[in-house]
Amino acid sequence: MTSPFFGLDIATRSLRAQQTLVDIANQNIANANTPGYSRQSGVVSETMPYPIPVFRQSGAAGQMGTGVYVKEINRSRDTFADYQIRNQLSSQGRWDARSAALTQLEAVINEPSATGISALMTKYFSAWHEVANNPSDTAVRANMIESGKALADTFQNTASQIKAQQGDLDKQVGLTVTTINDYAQQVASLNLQISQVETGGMKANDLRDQRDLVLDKLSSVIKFTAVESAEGSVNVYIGSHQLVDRSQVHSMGVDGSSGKNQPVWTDVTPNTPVTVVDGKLQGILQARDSVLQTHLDDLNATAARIIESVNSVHAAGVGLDGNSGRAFFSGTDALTIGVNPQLTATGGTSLVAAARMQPATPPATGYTWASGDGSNAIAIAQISQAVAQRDVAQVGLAPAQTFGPSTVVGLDLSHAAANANITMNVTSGAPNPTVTFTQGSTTVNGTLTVGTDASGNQIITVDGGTLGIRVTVSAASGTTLNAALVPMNNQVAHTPAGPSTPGDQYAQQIAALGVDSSTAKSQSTNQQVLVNQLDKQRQQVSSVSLDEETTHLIQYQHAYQAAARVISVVDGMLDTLINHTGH
Amino acid sequence: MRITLGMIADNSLRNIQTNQTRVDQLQNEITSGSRINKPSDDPIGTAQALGLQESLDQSKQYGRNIDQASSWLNATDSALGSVTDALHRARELAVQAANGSLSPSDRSAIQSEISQLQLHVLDLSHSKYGASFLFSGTRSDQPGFTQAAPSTTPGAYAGNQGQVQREVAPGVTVAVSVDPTTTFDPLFSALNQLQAGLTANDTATMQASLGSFDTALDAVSTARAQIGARTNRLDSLKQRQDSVSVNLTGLLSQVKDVDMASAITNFTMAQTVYQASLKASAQSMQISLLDFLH
Repeated sequence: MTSPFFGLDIATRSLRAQQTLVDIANQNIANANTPGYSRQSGVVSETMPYPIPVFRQSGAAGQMGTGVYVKEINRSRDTFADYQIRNQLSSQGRWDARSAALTQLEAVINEPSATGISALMTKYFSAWHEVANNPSDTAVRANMIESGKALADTFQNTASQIKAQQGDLDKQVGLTVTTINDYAQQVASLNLQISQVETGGMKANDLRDQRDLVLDKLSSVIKFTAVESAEGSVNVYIGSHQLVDRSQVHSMGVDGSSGKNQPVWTDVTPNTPVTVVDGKLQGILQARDSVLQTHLDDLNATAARIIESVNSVHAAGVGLDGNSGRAFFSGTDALTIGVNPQLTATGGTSLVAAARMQPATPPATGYTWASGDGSNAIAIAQISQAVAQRDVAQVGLAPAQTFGPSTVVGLDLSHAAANANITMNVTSGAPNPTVTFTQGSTTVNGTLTVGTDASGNQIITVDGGTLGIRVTVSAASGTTLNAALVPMNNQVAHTPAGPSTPGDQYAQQIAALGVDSSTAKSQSTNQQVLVNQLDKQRQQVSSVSLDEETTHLIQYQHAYQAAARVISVVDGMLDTLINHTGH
Repeated sequence: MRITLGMIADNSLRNIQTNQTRVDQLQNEITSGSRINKPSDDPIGTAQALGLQESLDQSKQYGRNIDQASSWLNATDSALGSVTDALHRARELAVQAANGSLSPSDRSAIQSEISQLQLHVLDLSHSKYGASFLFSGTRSDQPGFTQAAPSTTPGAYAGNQGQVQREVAPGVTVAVSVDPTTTFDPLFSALNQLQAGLTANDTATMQASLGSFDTALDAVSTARAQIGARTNRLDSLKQRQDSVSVNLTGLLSQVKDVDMASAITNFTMAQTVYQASLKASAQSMQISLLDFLH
């Protein structure tokens, strides 16, 4: 038989247990909106019953229950959902970063628009038509130079903005690495606290919630593998390298020695590069190194093509001073393109080469030019078209013109058939110039044959070689060539390979950008949907339902009230026993 | 399946934002009038739009080139018209002079008129279009004929034989200038011949000049016929250019412009959906068990 005070004991235990349960429910309600919080629940269990079986039993009815206690406090968490969602968060981080970079690039490129490069290219070549219509008009020439400047400025502007964007992304790499280290530090210190709590036998629910939140944030920046150890620490691996080892952090750093920031591990010497997989960091690196670089390269290629074609035809024509060999554009690509300063200086409009050397009217011999001839301007305007037949340009150096080494004589041979023989006509005795062919950066010495044609003129024949050659006539500085060095008119067929006009080439580049950007956007949206779906699953398990907690509160309140009532009853019994039995 | 207030709130928020984005996107389309505001809106369409815009701008430039070429040809034709008039008058005088029964005063009257005609024709050969001389080949910054004499006379002709070209369609160039020497030489020769005949009072020369005037008339008529043919060609090119421009504009509009009717309809729908999502969210988030407990 148990003592009368036994009942008090059970009731007290019940009060304590219900109190604890109410506290837990209170905690849940208070944290209903805390990000990353998983609802906690107390596991209630019966306390050890009485008596323990022994050899000499009392024989009374047993065992008697001794009450209730809260055995442990658990959090409701689906750790598999955590694992799944972190994978998707990494992908989302990568696509978001990529999409953001591409959207910004689209804003920089600004097509289709009336002020974009495509429209300005068309305006520029139209301006050459106007020069062809009015070759000696200064205002028309000035207008054409202005439109050339506008085109060059826009190329430069766009290219430098892309480079600036690359620079920004470069800085972001550094900032992102710092963020990763921060998160790692937080994980490490939480690891320490959790292991201290849990080796003591308790459950570190709130600390684990915090750590899971940090791991979620880390996963959207970079993909990692997490392994939980026996004492409750989470070890974080990036690739095969450990980032967090219990309470130790192996930090990442940036190595800017190659001109671009690359993430490296600083705990080994020499610093090894980090294997970045997925996450915002990879998105930024890809955007900087392949996406933006590709578009910058394409832009440079378009600019280089225009510079090359326009310059070679322009150098073949003569300005109003009768001289040829001038380039229209300076620079080599979109970053360096400009208009030849000679043309933008005072009096530069007369240097625009709208005319060409034409054969003189017999009985006069040789070649002359006239200010009303707009044939070179027409040829330049035709660069924007896929024109089927092109003349090899004629060029003349005026008699007694002095030139230095590497004067560009300026033959537009870009449409010459492969291995064509280009015949050059020297009309009277001249020092034999050396002729070199330059294509891009390759320089080849042309085979030069000197002979005479039917009229007794000295002829220098050069072997044309491959397409797109430029003839450079070089001689000692200060040499005077006392005759016109002129190629014969050569009608060649033009078979364009690839994008046939600069406009088409540029349009293809823009279309590629559009595809890239819209792909990134739709992937980003898809990832968002996936993440939302997984988050919903997670929340089903972990989030706090106020209705649920309120119901539980009512339950616990009643139990508490009942237990208190029992205490009154037992109190009454004791009172009867102590105060009212025998006197 | 457990649903909590947090899940409802998250869901509502996401859907509201999605709807708002859609409304914003449609509004952008309507206010800009263009379906394609950046390449990612429609990559293929962007490439098409850029190509069509380029073709359209080029086509307009060719239209301007054709107009300028036509004006040049018209100016040339009207100058040659005046030349023909002068030529007819000179021929009349030649007929008179070849008559053989002229008095010295008659002869000197005719001579002075011929001198005037020579100067007049020289002046006509200095006709300009804008700042460019029409009859000097490509040396259009200076007059071609400096004397009222055929180009065979040394120093009489300072122009050249170059043809002034205009590109009127991709790869198609048209010459807009007539050959100055072929057109004016016979006339100057004929006038000189008549003048010489009058000075020497040589009837045979004067009669021979009639034939020369006929040759001159042929030359001028040939030039004018050339101009006429070229003008006709340019007219039909212009017509074609115009219809090409119209077609390109239509195509460009198809690719790039937003269909206002459907855009506005979609916009209204999107707004309705947005408002509905707001209302539904407001109602679903208000009630909980706590409202029913006291």
